[in-house]
Amino acid sequence: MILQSYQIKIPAKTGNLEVIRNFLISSLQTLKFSEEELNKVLLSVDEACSNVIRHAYNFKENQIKIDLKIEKNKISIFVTDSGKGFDPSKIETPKMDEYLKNFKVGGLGILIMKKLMDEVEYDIRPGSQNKVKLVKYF
Amino acid sequence: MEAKIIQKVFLLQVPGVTENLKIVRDFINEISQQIGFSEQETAYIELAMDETCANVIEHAIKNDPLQKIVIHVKGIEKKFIEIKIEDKGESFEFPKIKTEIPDIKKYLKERKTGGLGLYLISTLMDKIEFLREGNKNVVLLRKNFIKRKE
Amino acid sequence: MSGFKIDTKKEESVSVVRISGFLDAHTAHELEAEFQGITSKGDYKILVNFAGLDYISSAGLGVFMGFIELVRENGGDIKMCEMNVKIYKIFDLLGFPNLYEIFDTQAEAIEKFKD
Repeated sequence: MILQSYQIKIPAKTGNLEVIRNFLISSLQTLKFSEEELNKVLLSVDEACSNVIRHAYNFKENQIKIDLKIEKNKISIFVTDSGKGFDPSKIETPKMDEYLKNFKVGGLGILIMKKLMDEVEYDIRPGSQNKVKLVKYF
Repeated sequence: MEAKIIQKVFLLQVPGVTENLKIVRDFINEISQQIGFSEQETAYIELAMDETCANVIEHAIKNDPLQKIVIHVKGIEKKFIEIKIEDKGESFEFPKIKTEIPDIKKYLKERKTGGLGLYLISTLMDKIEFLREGNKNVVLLRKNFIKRKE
Repeated sequence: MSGFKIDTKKEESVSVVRISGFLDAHTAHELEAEFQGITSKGDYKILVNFAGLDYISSAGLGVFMGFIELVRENGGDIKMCEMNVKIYKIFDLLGFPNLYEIFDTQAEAIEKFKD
């Protein structure tokens, strides 16, 4: 059962990463997370959002949506972009140096999320909506 | 080439309890700055927003965490900010907007403080409007950007 | 993490209430309870030090209005000091400076209570 839900939708740009962090800090402040656990959540969401800004939007100003669902024993965070979408073919075919750079940065973000969160799920639908689900148990 | 005018759009949805007023303030503060309002104007917009949401939480939502406040914000840099605050709580009538400075001494006697918030909102913003749309209470706020003389 | 803190200390005969963080519709009742506690002990000389306060809304302003009458009827006062400009502007917008004495420093305010 979802006890409380929060949502923020803002232009997808790196300057708004701090806004998203502050939103989460305030929304999660009444929960019993230790500072260490809270920081893991913040960093994971930051990685997910950075990926959206970097890949899905290519730094163009579009919307990014973060949903937070607080349940009895866990929180779930959904990071959704619904602009042009994530087109994997575009990401796989740029110049080699860009490819290496993107691959490394993107891959690291996913690794971080998987290490820090209890569950990480992707729902990628190129052209319509891409969603990353991050779950942390209390 | 003409400069492109980009409308910035934001949305925030939080459970309707007073402890979330801070999230609302932080959110609007950030947007106001991004639109280019000065620190002082941003503080005023933040206060007007806080007063409006505090009213909604108290009178319509009754501090119920299962009810949501939905805030839509749009703005154009150095032009304006427009805020739409929605809830599906009880329909409530906002008192008539007072534009005169309330008589503080009279308030004091009656130990009445409710009207202060509303006075602040109407003083600080360029537009305030209360609507009922279907099962929603809607409050519209707008502040225009005024070019400062440097 | 709480966004609002109160710390009250007696300085001579004055109850100095230091407030910090934000005073909004969520935290205003904490200040109300503090004033309740002070006045119920028969202390009516109250000085509120605003140095750490970043934000106030009408809910917070309402607390000062709710107690001023009781305090003055009992020969005391609520005075204020060390308010930042942002908060002073809100007070000013409502004409509060006509109603409450506001001082730059705590020492000045305590001195004024001796009159």
